[in-house]
Formats: sequence, structure tokens, C-alpha cells
Amino acid sequence: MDEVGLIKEAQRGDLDAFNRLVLAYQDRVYNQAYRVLGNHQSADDATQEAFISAYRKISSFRGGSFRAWLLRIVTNACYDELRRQKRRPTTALEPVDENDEEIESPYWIADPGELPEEQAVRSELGNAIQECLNQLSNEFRMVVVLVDVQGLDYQEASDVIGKPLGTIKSRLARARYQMRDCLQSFWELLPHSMRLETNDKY
Amino acid sequence: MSEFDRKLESLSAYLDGELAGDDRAQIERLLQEDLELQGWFEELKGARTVLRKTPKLRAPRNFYITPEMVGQNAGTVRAFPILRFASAFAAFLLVLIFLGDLFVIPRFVTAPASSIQIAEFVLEEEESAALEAEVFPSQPPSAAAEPLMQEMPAEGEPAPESMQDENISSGMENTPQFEKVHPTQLPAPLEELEERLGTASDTGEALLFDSESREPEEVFAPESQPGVNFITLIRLTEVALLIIAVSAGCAALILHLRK
Repeated sequence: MDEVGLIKEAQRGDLDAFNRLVLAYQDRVYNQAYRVLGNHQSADDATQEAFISAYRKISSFRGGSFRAWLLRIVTNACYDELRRQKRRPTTALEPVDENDEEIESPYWIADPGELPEEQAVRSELGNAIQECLNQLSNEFRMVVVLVDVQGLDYQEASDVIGKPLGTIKSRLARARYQMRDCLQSFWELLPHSMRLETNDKY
Repeated sequence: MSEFDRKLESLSAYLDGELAGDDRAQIERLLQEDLELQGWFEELKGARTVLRKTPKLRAPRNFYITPEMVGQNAGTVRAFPILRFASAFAAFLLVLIFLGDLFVIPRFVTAPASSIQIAEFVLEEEESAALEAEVFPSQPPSAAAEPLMQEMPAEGEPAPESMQDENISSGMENTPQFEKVHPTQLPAPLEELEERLGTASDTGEALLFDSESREPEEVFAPESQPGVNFITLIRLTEVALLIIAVSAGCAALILHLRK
């Protein structure tokens, strides 16, 4: 059954149909939650809350991009988690390195087709990017993850966050500028092959 | 917003192809003229390239939703589609049978024409006999009338030859035989007759709709009895399907609203 059919069945109360949608989108939703929240435990909680909320609100989906609709729900779940973290700071359960940064599990970023060296590069890059994302404000981080990591266009990002296009443009521009400063400190650590794929500045 | 922020925003939007018209032409002209602006543009482009290479993480587990997570019990979740289907199916059968009523039932209601005609004739004759009996109350036959009465054949017996000839000649072989009355037993005067009869319509109706008279349906030919039973069966089936459709539909609606 295609996505439209699964959505219709889910709207009629078919939990199995909704779980098939969960299977199709859980990687994307989890990525959004993790890149915004910065730790796996919080991302796990936010992802589960997002899907439960999505099932309860499935009847309010009126067509359009289901991906954007789901990302809006997980964005709200992330905001709720950030407010909760502000009230009650938590300690990460995953192992951390000497800089107190969580170590991304090789399992979670494993690609069966990758060589070990490639996996190591990807892991290093992921850690560097996450480090820089964590230094952004919540609002800037949300926009840059939606547009540059998830691949949404400006209008979709505007619909997800619920802010005007001008706000999206402004926050994205400033988030990228701050990221460029942060990434420069990691750039020399990245393999040459990675640097060659980007512009001559790096 | 500072000039720097405004240019930064334009560069970022131009990078993503979100600038059009005069704004796009302006920023392209500035990029050709301003080297510092070109440097900012390249830095933004580099940052976007790295961000697009962010590793896509896989979900560490499956985030399936269970009925308990959303406040449902497994039985309710399974019951909803079953009830919904039962309601729809029962309603479909009900519509089919209802449509069948329009075409099938009239054939069972309409009995053979000859049976109806005979039944109506017999009923009319009985009503006439009752009216006659009311108007001309039967009296024990007088002595003079006895010979005539004796000549009357018993039911089922062939009439005497003399009477058979009379019956044939008068064409009365198919008509009921009324009791012969002596001329001295003529009806009462008109006034008395009216008193006994009352208004003609009332008496007529009283005679016609005597409680002892049989309903037309009672004189139907025996062949039509299975048709009546079939109609009753269909009616009962319709009622049962209606109850099923309504109850299953209400149950499914309640389950849906409880979600």
C-alpha cells in the first residue's frame, strides 16, 4: 500500500498502517531530534513522543507533505524537551570522550557498504558538526538542521516552525555564518578528501 | 538589521536559489564588484556543503506505537474494523432486501385472479344471505310450503327431475337456493322494516362487516399460504439486519470517538 493509502487507513484507526509509516520515517525523525537536542536519550524520548502525538493527531492531516507534517510534530516535541531540560538539567547516559562529548555509537551511524576508514571519517565529521550545532541557539539550530541537514526548502521550514519566510532566511543566514566559524576549528582535522569536496576557502 | 546582516541574508538566500528578480540581479552585481562579499559568499557555501554531509543516523530501535501507548486496549483496536465492516455489510444486505421487496413481494401478495373472484362472490352472497335473514326472518315452514321444501334436494344430492328442469330453465344451477317462504309470511310493513333495518348504510355496513364474517384473506386458496410465510420471514430479516447495522455502527462510532 502506498503512503496515501497508509495515511487514510491510519486516519480510520488502523494502528498497523500507522506503524508502517513509523518504520518509513523513524530514521528521519530521530535525526531531527538528535541534531536538535544533542544527545541520544533525549532524542529517543522526543521521537517516541512525536510518533504518539502524530497518531493522536493523524485525523488533522489534510494532505500535502507528510514529511513536513511529521517534522513539525517532532520539532514541537524537541522544544518541549528543551524546556524540560532547562528546568531539570540531565546527565547523559551515553559514554563521553575526554571533552565530555557523547561518542556517537558506530552502530547508529553504521552503513553496511562502508569501509572502516570511511566509517571513522563519518563519525569524526558527525561529532564535529554536532559540536558546532550545540553551540547555536535553539532557534538557529532548528532552522539549519531543517534546511541543511533534512533538506527542506524555505517554505517547508517556515511551515514546520510556524514562522514567516523572512524569519527563516534571517535565522538560516546567521546560523550558517556561526557554523562556518566553528567548523574552521575542525576543518584541519578532517581528511584531505573531505576538504577537497568543498570550496577553496577550506 | 545592520547592512552586514542584510547582505548576509541576501547571500544565503542567493546560495539556495531563493532570490528572484531585482534582488538576484543586485546581489550578482555586488558579488562581481565586492571581493569581501565574495569571501563571505564562499564561506557560507562551504558551511552549507559540510552541513549537507552530516551523517544520517539510523534510529537505534523501532518506535512502533502499541495500543497501550495511545490509551487503547488490544481488543478495542481489533474490534473497531470488525464492527465497522459488520455495520456496512448489514446495511448493504438491508438495502438489497429492501430493493427486493419492491419487485418480489407484490407477486406473493397478488393471489390468482380466479381465487379472488370466487372469494369475493362467496363473500357477497353471504352478506346478501345475512341481510335477507335480517329482513326476512326465517320461520318454520308452513304445511303448504312443506311439499315444496320436501322437494328441495339435500346438499350434494341431485335435484328431482322436475326441479332440475326448473333450475336449468331458470339458469339457477349455479346460484344458492333460498328458503321458500309462504305468502302469508310476507315482510312487515315498511315502517317496521325501517326500524329493524335502521339506516340502510349502517345496517348494510353492520351486515357487511359482521364480526362473524370472514375476512377476504381467509378465503384465499391454500396455495398462497407459503407466500405469506415468506413475507414474514423477509420482514423479520429486515428488522434483524437493521438492528445489526445500527448497533454495530453505533459501537464503531463510540470506539472511534473514544480514541
